Amino acid sequence: MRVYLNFRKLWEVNMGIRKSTGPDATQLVETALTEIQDATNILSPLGGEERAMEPEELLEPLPVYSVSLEELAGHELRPNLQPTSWRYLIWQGNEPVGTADVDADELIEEDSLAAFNHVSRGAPARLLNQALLLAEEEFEHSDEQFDLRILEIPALNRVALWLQSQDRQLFIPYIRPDLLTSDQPPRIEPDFLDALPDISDQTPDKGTPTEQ
Amino acid sequence: MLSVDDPIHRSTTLPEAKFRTKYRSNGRWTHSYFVTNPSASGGAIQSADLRAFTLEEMAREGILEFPEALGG
Repeated sequence: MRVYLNFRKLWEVNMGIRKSTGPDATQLVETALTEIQDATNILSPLGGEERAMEPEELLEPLPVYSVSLEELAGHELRPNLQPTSWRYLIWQGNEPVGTADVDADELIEEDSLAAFNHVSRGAPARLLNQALLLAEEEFEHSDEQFDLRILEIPALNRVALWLQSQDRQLFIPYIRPDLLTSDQPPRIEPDFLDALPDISDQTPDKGTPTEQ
Repeated sequence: MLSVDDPIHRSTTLPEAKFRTKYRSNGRWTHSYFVTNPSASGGAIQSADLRAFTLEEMAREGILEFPEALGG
């Protein structure tokens, strides 16, 4: 059954937060979700969260900067980072139920899934929405103007809403192992980058793999 | 499409090609670990229970199927 989505602006007016203008990939995400919905009878082998969604609305996207450990040298972000994808929050009624990512370096075409990267469900969508609400509450009427982005550090299992002004950067981490297992809502952490674990400690014992 | 249960990013669905080369934008599939059901060998997983498969091998061995309808 074909999925149809409405496209909604993040904020019509917000004094303190400036949004990047992302692509409207509504039709692309509709096509991807339709394919996924048709396959939702596949059960999660790990008993994961419910896969079926009845999405209704797509929120204006945020640029995602996915950085490797090399790009995070010395607990600082390299200048001139480019967005790797655009993240759309998917709504069902009044609930954020998932996110869809579209690659920034692929041409978005209605009839091709080439730019579609993934759809995630459950807690990460809810936590991203909480982080957005916090940013709005704190900076809606601020004289200082912030660019709104998402910073993702897959090697350290960290994702944060990233507020960048001319003079400073603030972070609202919303995916981190401790946040996913507690009821603690996301909060602003100006020292987020400094508090990252020592990168040299992040090489897990993976056993003896077979190269693909 | 593939369904992945990621302990951090939870239930994720993505095209197989993206899983291989662009998982969460900059992830790349480098190694495979296949784990058998520990109850089949009567207890905890032993190293002998572990065997790595590529997707092609899984398909050839009949472990994994890619129905045409799912675009696989």
